[in-house]
Amino acid sequence: MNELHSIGLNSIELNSIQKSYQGRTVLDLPESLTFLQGNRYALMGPNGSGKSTLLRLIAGLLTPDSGSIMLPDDLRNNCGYLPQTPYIFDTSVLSNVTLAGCDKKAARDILVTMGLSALAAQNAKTLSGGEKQRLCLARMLIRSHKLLLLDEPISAQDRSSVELVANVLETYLKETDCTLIIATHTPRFAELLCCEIIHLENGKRSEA
Amino acid sequence: MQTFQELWQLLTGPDGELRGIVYTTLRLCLTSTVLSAALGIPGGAALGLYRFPGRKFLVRICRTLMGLPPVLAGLAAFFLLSRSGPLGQYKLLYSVGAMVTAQIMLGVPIAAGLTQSVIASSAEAIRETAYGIGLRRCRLLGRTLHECRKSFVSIVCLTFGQCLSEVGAAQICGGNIAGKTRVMTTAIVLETNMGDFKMAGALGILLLLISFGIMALGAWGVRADE
Ligand SMILES: Nc1ncnc2c1ncn2[C@@H]1O[C@H](COP(=O)(O)OP(=O)(O)OP(=O)(O)O)[C@@H](O)[C@H]1O
Ligand SMILES: [Mg+2]
Repeated sequence: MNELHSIGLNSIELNSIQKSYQGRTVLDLPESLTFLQGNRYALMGPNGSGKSTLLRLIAGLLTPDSGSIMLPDDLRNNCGYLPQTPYIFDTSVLSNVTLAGCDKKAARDILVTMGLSALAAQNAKTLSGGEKQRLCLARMLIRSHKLLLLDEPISAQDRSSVELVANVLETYLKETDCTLIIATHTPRFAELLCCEIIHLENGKRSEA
Repeated sequence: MQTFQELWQLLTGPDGELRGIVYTTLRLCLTSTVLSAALGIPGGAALGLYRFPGRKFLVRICRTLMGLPPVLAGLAAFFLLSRSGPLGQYKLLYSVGAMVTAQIMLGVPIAAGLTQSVIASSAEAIRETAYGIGLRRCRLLGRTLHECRKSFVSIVCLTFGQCLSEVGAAQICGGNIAGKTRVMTTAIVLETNMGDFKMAGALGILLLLISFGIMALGAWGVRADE
């Protein structure tokens, strides 16, 4: 009973949300959608199906045109969000990580985990696409979040890096008991990491 | 060649008038540029970065003022500083201070507008990323300024160029008083009106050289940073 209560307390609830741009509905979820505390969810679907829009709505960067999003304060205040095209600051790889609010020691450790330790002093703008992406992930993981929203975190990773990232995330999630919602086009990554896959198509929820 | 020789003699000779004019010009333009950049760059960065009601309107105003004719800026500063104006008690009219006031009206929109357009393309990504990693809003502005530091040199140079080349504001607010508020552009107008085309030409060449020197310095600054 107690456990149920705490699950209810920290879960995210979306109630019939709708979002339009210039009169075009890009997201329409008439039923309600619940994300339970500590669970992992993958959003999948073709380009333009509304995955990023949904993540930005949950992150609070967008407001729905109708419907409501119930996000407990605890999650809102400890929410990490990785945009689909994150910004890399024009400074060293290490400083890019410390910017997120950690000391150099912690930053070095996470760079080692992400396989970027040799590049710590390099200007982050000069990294390769996949390295940049892992840097952005490293930047997300130096804090312990209650909610992690990752928009296509591995779209530029090679096969072995996908596994690396999945392992790192797995460890992180076990340690923090954080809710994870990712958008991805890689079924293998979703299967490695997530317990529930939510399919979107044309802004609507669909069966696989 | 002869013109250059005469110019050199005027600059180094016993009569310090030309030296005085050049000194006043540089003092005026540097002060205006520094103040315009100090106000305009952070203002423009905030305009490009934060979303608030009225932002689009402010950007449009800024864009319009970027093309503000210097005489109008001079006129506005004149009304502001004239004896019956809101700042009349400071008795700034016909001083370098008055010219600085007018030139700031020209310089701030340029510095702000250019900064805003530099930031505009990456503002969204910076804002979302900073939000996503929990960077505080107050640190965001400083961080963004740091991101576009390479453009500052050109922004400052362009602002300086506008201050150096304008004549309307300097004339109206400074009054072209010899030894006090006479700057190179107003001196050129005067010499031309008096028919001393040689002197006007010499001043013009000197103005070009100074402008060229500043721009070269700016270009060097950009390269040194890279
Ligand atoms: N600011 C905007 N203005 C207008 N249309 C928008 C805006 N943002 C998103 N859209 C539209 O909303 C739809 C959903 O976009 P979204 O970014 O959520 O797709 P996605 O599922 O993340 O696609 P992808 O797999 O390509 O990342 C798209 O058709 C897009 O054109
Ligand atoms: Mg997307």
